[in-house]
Formats: sequence, C-alpha cells, structure tokens
Amino acid sequence: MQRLLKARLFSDALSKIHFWGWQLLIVAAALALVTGHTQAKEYAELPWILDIVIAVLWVIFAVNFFGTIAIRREKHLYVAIWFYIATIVAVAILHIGNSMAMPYSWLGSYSAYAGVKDALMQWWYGHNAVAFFLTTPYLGLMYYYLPKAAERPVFSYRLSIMHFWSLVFIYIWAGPHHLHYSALPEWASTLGMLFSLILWMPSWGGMVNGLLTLRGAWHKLREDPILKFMVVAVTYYGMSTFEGPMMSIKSVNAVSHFTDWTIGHVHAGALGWNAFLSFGILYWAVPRLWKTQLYSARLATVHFWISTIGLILYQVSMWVAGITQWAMWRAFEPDGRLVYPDFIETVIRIVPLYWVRLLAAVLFFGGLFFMVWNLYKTIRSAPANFAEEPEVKAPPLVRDLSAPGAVTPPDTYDHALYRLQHSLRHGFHRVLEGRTITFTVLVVLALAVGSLVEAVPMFLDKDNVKEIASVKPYTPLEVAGRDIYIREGCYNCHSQMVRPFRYETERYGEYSKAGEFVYDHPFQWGSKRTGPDLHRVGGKYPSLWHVRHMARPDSTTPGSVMPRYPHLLTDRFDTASVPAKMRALRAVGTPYTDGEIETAAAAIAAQAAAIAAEIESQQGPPGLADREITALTAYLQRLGTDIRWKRPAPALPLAAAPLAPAAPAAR
Amino acid sequence: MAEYEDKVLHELDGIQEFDNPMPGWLMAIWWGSILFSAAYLVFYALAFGEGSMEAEYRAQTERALTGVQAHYDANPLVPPAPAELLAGAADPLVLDLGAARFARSCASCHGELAQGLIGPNLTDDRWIHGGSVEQIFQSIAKGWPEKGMPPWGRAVPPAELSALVSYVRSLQGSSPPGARPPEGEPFAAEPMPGA
Repeated sequence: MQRLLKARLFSDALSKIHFWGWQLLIVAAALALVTGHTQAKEYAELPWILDIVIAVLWVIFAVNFFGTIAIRREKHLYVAIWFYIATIVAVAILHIGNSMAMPYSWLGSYSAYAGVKDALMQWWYGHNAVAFFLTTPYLGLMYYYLPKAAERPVFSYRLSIMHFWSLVFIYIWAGPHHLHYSALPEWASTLGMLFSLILWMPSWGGMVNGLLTLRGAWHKLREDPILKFMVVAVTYYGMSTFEGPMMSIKSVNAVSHFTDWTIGHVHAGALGWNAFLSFGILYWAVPRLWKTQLYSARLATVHFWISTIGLILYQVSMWVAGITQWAMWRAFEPDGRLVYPDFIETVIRIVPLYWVRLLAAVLFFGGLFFMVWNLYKTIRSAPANFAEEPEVKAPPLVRDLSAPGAVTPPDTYDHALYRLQHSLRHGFHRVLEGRTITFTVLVVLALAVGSLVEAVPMFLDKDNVKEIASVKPYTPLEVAGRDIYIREGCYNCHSQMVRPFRYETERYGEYSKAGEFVYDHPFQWGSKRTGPDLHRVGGKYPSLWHVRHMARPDSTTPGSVMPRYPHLLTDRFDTASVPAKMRALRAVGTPYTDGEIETAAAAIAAQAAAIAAEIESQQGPPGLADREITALTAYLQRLGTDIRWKRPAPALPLAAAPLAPAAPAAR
Repeated sequence: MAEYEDKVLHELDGIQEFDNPMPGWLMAIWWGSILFSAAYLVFYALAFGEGSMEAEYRAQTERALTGVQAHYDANPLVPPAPAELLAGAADPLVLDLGAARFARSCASCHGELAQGLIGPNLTDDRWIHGGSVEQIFQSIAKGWPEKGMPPWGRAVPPAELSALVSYVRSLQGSSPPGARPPEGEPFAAEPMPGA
C-alpha cells in the first residue's frame, strides 16, 4: 500500500493499535468460544462486546487506510487499492448489519432478527464475509505480487475495471443461495441463485487477469516455487468460483447442502487460494524485506508439493463424503422405506473419508513447518544492516498546470468543456481513480442495491413469513434450554431445517415452515448435518432417551460419533438470568408479558418438575429437576411441535395387514 | 492468444498494465449467464409463481406414494402366520437375523438383553399391548408413537420384522439381570411348535 500510494502510512500509532488490538481480539475470541459464549451465527459467533471491539478496530484500520490515501503522492489508485477499499467498506457494513443484537449480560445477547429474517441477514453477511474478507483483499494482493513475482505486466486494465465493479455489485446479492429449499421465500432464493450464476464472469475475471499476466513467464514456473504457489492459488480461485455458482443452482444445492461438499468447497477455497497465495507472497517478500536470498528454493518446492497433495486429498475426500451421504439419505426401497433409516449408518459410511481428510490435514499442516524453517533461516541470513534504509520521498502531487483552465479559472462554457475533455482523455475510470471519495461512495452504492432489494421486502412484506397462530414463544425453561443448546454448539452438527423433499419428510417429519421460527433469536438452521436434523425431534423420543443420549450417545445410538455431555446431568441450570433473557427477547419482539417474566422462576420449577417426574417414571435417574439436562430436554421436546402434521403414507401398506387384531387405538 | 496488442497503459511501482481487451469467451460467459438468468426469471415468474417449491414437493410425494401403492398391489403384503413366527423362534438363522436387528434398533430402549430400559421388559410374561406373536408383530410394525415406540414397519425390511418377533419370542422367560419391573397384563406365551 505504501509503495502503491508512494506515501508513508498515515499513522504508525494507529497501525500498532490495529495490530496488537487484533491479536488481543483473537485471544479473547478463542477464550470466549471455548467457554461457550457464542451468538451461534456462523462466522459471527463472537459475543456482542467483542463485536464492538471488532467494529472499533475496523474503524481504526479504515482511518489509517483512508488517511494514507489522503496523503498519497500518486494521483491514481491502482487496482489493488480498489479492492482494499471494497473490503473495508463492505466488511464494516456486513459486520454491523448482521451483529445487531440485544444483550442480556456482558457476554450474552440475542440476535435482533428472528428466524427467516435472521437467516437472510446471516447469509447476506456470511457469504459476503467470504467475498470481502477472503476474496477482494486477496485479489488486491494478487494484483500486486503476481506481476511482481512474474515480472510481467498485468494482462488487462479494462478487465480489472470490469471485474472489479461487477464483483462488488453482484457478490452482495448471492447470500440466499445458502438457504435454498429452506423456509426462505422462493423469490429470495431465486435471486440468490441467479446472481451467483452471473457472478461467474466477475470472479473469473480475476483468475484470467492473473493467469494471462503470466504469458511469457510460464517457463519460470519450472524453477520458481513462488510462481508455483501463485499459479495454483489463482487456479484454485478459478475452480472455487466455478464450483460456487454451480452449487448455487437449486437442484445442485439440494445435493450439496448439509453435506461435506459445502464444507469442502469453502475450505478448499481458503486453503488453495488464500493460503497458497499467502505462501507465495511470504516466500517472495521475506527475502526482500531482509535484503537477502531465500534460504532454500528446494525446500519451498517440497512445501509446495506436499501442500498440493494435501489440498487435493482434502477436496476429493470431501466431495466423495458429501455425495455419498446425500445418496444414502435419499435412497428409498420400492416399498417406500428408506434404505438407511438410521442416520448413523450414513455417518459411519463416510468415516474412512474423514481419515483421508486427516491425512490431508497432516500433509498441509506439515508443509507449514518447512515454510517456517525456511523463512527462519532466510531471516537469519539477513545482512546486519538490513534495516538501514535511505529515506525516499516521492515528490508531492501537483496540479497539472498544462491542463486547460488549470491556471485561470474557466469562465466560459467552451473553457469548461475543454477542461472536461482533458480530464477524460484517459477515460472516465481514470478520473475516478483520482477521486477517493467518489470512488468509495460508488462502492457503497454498488453494495447497497443488492442488500436493500433483498432485505427491505423481507422486513416490510408480512407475506414472506406467514403467521402461524399456534406458534407460541418458548417457555422460560425452554429459553434456558435453548441457551444450553447454543452454548454446547449443537448447531454445528445438527440442522433445524427439514427441506421439502420426500426423503427428508419421511426421515424427519413435515418440512419446516417460515412461521415456525418467528421466536428464534438467533435462527438455528445450521449448515451441516454430522448428526440428524432436529427440527421435528420434539416428542419423537421419551425424555429419558435424551438423558441417556446426552450422557452416553452410543448407549441409545450404537456407533454414534457424538461427544458425551455428562456434565449436563450434574450441572445446575441458571434460573436467575432467565428474566433478564426474557426481557432481552421482548426487546427484539417476543411478546412476553410482565407477568410471565415475574413468574418465570415458578414456571421453570413447574415444567422442570414435570419433566423430571416423567424421566423418573421411565425408570431414569431421580432428582434431575434442577439440572441442565432438564432444561435442554424441555427445549428439544418442544422443537417442531407447534404445528400439527401428518406423515404422508400410501392408503394401505401395513395398516391393511389382515391379521391386525384391532387397529391400535389411542391409549 | 498471440493476437493481443500488449500496449502498456500505465506503470506504477514497477508494475505495468496492458490495454488488452477482455477475452471473448469470458464475455460470452458473462452475457450467457445474464441472459440465462433473465430467461429463468421470466419463465418461473410466468409458469409457476409463488409456492412452486411446495407444489414440487407435493407432486414428488404423490408420485412416490403412487409408486409404493403400485409396489404393494404387485406384491401384496402377507403378514407372517403365527406358526411361521413361532417356528422362527427355534431357527438359529432367523434368530441371528433377529438378534442383529434387535441390537441395532431395539436395544437402545429395551436394553441389550431385552430387560427393559426406557421401554418395557420383553422377557417376562407381562405385556402392555398383548403378548401373542401376532400382537407383537403389530406393535413392532405400527409402533405406539405416543409412547415413544416408533412404527418400525416404516424402517425395517419385512423379513427382519418377522425375525424380530421370533427373536423376542425366544427370549421369553430368560430373566436377564437388572430387569425392569413387570408392566401390563399377564399372557401365557403360545407353545413353541413341537414343544
């Protein structure tokens, strides 16, 4: 950035605050998450107070960044800087938009949005966090380091303009493709799909511009590990951004959603594109920063090959695991039975692929040690005076005095016209590159269109979430139980979204309706089914089943891969905080009355006693009324029971069996 | 790719930018994806309108159920005769099949030895929903959903359903340790054939 703007960073103090603040934040984030403090929204898990810290640090970053642009001594902003502007602006908007929440304690809060709306906001954020945190800044890096490392000019300036603006404008629309076949209204899902398809060219523009920059430098690829890393990075970027639009097609998404395919897609992109480009940049920049040579190009080549093998093993294992699991979920016998009615069968089948994934991870991670060692030796070989740097300053920007009207103000229309023609002689965009504020405003507008078109109707038009009268707010005990569900991270492996497919309704029950989630702050639809969907788990099992299952999952589900949660049977749940939680929920729209909040403790005691009595009557352990398992069971038994539904069945099969002594009457 | 002019437009910090046009095939993808999307939008807006996902699901379910119905029409479901179920209780092959299925699907609620856990003890002479092999078959196949017993006829192949009944019958009077106290009405098990 300093080289592209020919200026020292705006403030070294801000840089230091930004750097150390971010490190502290990462430590705080790790502590918060392992202690179960999460908002339970993907990529936005951190407690509200850390969200505020992020926002402050991001503003510091922005001030430093735009401050440097303001004092630059190069009139035109290079394409790398455009991408950084988009990154800073978009991440700020997304982070603030999605993290709106009502706190009930220093670390706890409830999302301001509920159910379907929360899902839309979350994936508007989540998808574009990938776009503007992992894609745009890395394209910026690519536009600097790739031509540097290849010593070739950038292929096409026009292409960079085209794909920058189309990327910024279109990416923001694509979020709903994470919610195909969910309770999200179809128009939003369709928009998400179509804009994802249109996103193909803008994404590939970056890859094409990168790869074609290498024209005339391909022979260097044989010797140079740096270019090897960069070429694989750019190629992987291209592969991921082809796979992405393809997966956003509804019928393809029906396959990939909730399986390892999606997980593989994201992480192969992160490993192949982000990590590989970072490796290439480090191998290129470290020797130059320390004014020395890379310690060993051979070692870097070894690193390249083992990481590449790891990457491919990873991606292939995830593809195969994902498609295998989907195929097993949907397999029917001719008599209408699922071939694999036990979900666990579909998990056990893909465990070997998880071992492949582990091997891939060991290879990829092992490669890092080669790099760290290589860079360490490189830095050690730096000359003693590497830090001595003659201070160079670019001449300050001066106005172009030869321009018509630059000296004397224009006083006629003709004069003004000349001036305009002069400034536009290199095209409109060249002018824009000299005007940071206009440029940034246009980026904001480009981002705003897609965001508003999707969000505004969702929030204003009540038709999007059809009201269901029988859906009631959670009871105080269920509120406590839901927080335990969130704390333990259940949503990481269990979805709560039965899709309208026969193979899902046969396995889980009636598909999920938008109106059922109106009190879900945050929504808990999940993205991956390592375990079965839980939206219709309420009433499916006796309460004792849940007690035994949490204590030892393989006691109720032989072969289960779920971790044990025995502490739920010993720890007591927190009744005291429930009124505060209910007040926070009321603030975001749950209609609790004052009376309900005041009598929460009594309501909790009554419901917990009933559940504990049921468990005891089923010959379960006594005295669980104040334990977390009871609150969690209350929540689980409530899930999906607000509406009445009947499983579609053919007219006759077993029910018509002539030997039935009497149709099983109700108890 | 040799046709590009490679005219240098700008240079900054040693990086030059060429003035090449966008590759034609990339523009084709661009316009192609836009045209497709426009056509898709028009087609779906006109042809289906709101609720098409639900309509698709209903059609899918209907097709599937028709298929199942056709299957049963062609292969009428003949419930196993009591004698057959009782004979199975003495057949080691049937019992192996039943035991394997029991371990997989039943043990989690009825206990590994059928001693009763969440669900009732299946080894004593008390039965909540009847203890004849026919009644046991019905209980397994249709379940008692309101009590937490799933309808296993939806998940277990017919041969294994019968094997399960035979297996359960073979456990009669095995009095495993830690048995759940008796529940339900007494029922004298039907005699085994040849016994």
